[in-house]
Amino acid sequence: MGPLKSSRTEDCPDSPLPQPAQLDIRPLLGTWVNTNASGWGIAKVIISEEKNGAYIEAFGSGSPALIEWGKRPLSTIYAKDVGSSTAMAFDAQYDLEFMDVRMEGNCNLGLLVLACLNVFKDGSGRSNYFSREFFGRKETV
Amino acid sequence: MTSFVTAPALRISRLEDRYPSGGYEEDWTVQQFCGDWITTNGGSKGIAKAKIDFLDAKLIVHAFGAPASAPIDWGPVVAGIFTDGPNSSRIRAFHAFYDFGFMESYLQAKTEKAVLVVASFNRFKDQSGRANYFSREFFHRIA
Repeated sequence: MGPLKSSRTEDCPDSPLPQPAQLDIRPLLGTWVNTNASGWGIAKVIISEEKNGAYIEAFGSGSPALIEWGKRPLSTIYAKDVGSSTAMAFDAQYDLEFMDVRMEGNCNLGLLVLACLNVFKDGSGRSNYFSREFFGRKETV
Repeated sequence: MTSFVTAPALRISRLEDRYPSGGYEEDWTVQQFCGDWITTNGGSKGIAKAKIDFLDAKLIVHAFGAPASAPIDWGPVVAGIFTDGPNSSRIRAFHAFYDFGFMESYLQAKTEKAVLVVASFNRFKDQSGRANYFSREFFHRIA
């Protein structure tokens, strides 16, 4: 293989890459509950690993019950650098018919920071909006 | 007869000591993103700088990868603009996408107190064995 292409210095590994490059996704797994119990955003997400990959299941705030978004695969899982084997971030895509939600999450200091880029498709006149929420891991899954 | 007591002028150490509070007000327009931005980390291996303009109702992001001594020109892309809520006109963030061929980068950005905060989600497509990676960087405006 020739020299690695790069868009910035950090694309280049400091040392030979471990083989095989298999990410440990355990830091992402579990049930994550919004730190703001009265928030109007996403109340809870469950990230799980199955035979064919990792999944996220999101629950929006709602009354009287949470709104189930369903389970979607994590599109991409990210490490902290090109030579790392520990997962720390992910993205996922929800098509909820009336809106698209691109989720971008990362773990930091024991919290899951979840940003959502929300695009409406229903002609309702609502603004596409950005949200960023924090989640703590529920110990008993 | 009602009597009033006038409070003496309050001493302040900074504008935000004033009552009612004064001080910094967030910019909720697209202009919060516009300008020339440079990384706050002089030794950054990520994004060295970015030039952002609002032209013809489009937010144009033009980023440059490190090293700062010989920045890698990523070229301009049109970014998506997001508010802080479905019923709001306050601009909160933008989202930009770069496809370099061998890799893709999604840039999620917002400002906090006039600092541009950029999270990047970087995915390799070249089978080089490099791990896809996440990074978060801070930028201050120089122009």
